[in-house]
Amino acid sequence: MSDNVNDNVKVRLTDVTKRFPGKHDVTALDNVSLEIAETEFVSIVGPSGCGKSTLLRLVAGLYEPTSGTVEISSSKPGRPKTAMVFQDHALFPWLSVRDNVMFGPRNRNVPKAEAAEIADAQLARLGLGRFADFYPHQLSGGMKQRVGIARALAQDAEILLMDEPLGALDAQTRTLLQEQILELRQESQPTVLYITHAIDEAVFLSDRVVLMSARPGRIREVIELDFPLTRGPELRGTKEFAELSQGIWNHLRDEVQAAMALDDQ
Amino acid sequence: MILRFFREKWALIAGPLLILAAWEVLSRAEIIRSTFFPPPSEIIARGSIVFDLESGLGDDILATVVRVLVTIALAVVIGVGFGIAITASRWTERGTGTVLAFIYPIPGVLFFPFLTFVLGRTEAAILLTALVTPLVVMVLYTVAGVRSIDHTLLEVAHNYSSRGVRRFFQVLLPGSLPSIVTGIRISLGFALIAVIAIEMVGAQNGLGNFLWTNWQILRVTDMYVALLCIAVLGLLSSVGFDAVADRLLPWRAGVEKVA
Repeated sequence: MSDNVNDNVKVRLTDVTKRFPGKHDVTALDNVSLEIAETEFVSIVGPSGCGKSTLLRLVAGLYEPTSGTVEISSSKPGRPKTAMVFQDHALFPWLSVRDNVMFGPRNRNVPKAEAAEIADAQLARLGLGRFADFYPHQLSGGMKQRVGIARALAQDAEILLMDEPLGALDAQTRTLLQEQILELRQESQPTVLYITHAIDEAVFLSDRVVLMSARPGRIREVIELDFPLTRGPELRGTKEFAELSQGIWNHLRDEVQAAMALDDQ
Repeated sequence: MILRFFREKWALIAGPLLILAAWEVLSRAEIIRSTFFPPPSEIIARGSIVFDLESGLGDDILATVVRVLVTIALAVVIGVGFGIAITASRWTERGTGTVLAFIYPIPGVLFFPFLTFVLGRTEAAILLTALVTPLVVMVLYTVAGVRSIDHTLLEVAHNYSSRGVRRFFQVLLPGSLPSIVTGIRISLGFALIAVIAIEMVGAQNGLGNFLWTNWQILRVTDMYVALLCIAVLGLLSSVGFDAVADRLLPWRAGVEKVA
């Protein structure tokens, strides 16, 4: 990794191992080291059960590593370290859309009126301004996930963690939301760690794609992408996009097969 | 609409009517002793004593209703608070679990003698005795409610730094509310049973006391009127509560409408 990346490292994982003790001791992550620079968008791709979600939860502080360290640099006091977008939206069904988005700021004792302003601004940004007073069950799957993203953005955290945020959506909604996430990126350049199954999604959005191996999860390959930040939807139609996606799949195929063999056991 | 109700649900009413009619005929023919089983028509006619101030039945109904309401209110406030508190750690949950499982099957009224040692035959002793079973039910249902909260939502709470009082009111309480509502429905029944039973043995008023006194002087018809009042109270409490319950869970009601 080049020096200028090292200078403004936002997240540093050093030799992180995570074991889940139990009847069958499961090593979810084995000796993983990774650095994410400020404003960088890093995607993690790998077969099911490779520890992608575990990695994200370690960064989020939901799990403690068995060994190794997770460091997140703080840019200003009081700014939350992480804000996570969950796969199945995970909105509170008993809170209105606005209250869901206000949830983080209110927990940090931001005054109610100010928190509501933050929420309304983020909802408007995601095209959900009209739905602030709705309950989650009144929204479609894609809208719920956009509320989930708005909730994370309202935190203005050091790093945005996204756990297969589009995994449960239909293909068209997914394509549209990919473009919306790209726009958000271009607007405010957050630091993002993004987990996905979809290779094309990773290539479309990221600066770097990290390939992980089947259990125990290790980093197998890191692929630097040099598409500019100003990329647009037309990127998907280019030859480089197709070649890169195919290349990543070639790397990944063995791992997916290995993971399936593990599941069959 | 009423016509349609009868066409579809006539059996619901036909069953009880058939039993009452049989009772009426058997009692009038003295096949069963009308001293102990007076004909239902007489009991219903006698029901007017509810509105007769002289009989004191109205006051007794009021006394019972107040006791049930106080009991259920205490059970809900204490039970929900305590139930959520003990889920804070696995150890407190396991530790109290054994105690609760031990107390739960004991008929609540059996605690009355013990409580009178300490409190005398006071209103406090009556209410605390009635409280035992509903309180255990509320704690158990609250714990089950917290356990039923989607694990991911707890991860959200953690990641978005929800702590203490805010976590209680915004996450744990609403998350366990469906189960708590079921608990309240069940506790209402238990509270009514307990209050009546204690009134029979240890109170100076209330429906239980009215029933017991009339049994002792063999005023059988009045006894049946009290029985009828208790049944109606039970019915009203469950129907009334169902009407309120949906309002407690607006996000649920909506889901059902959509589905």
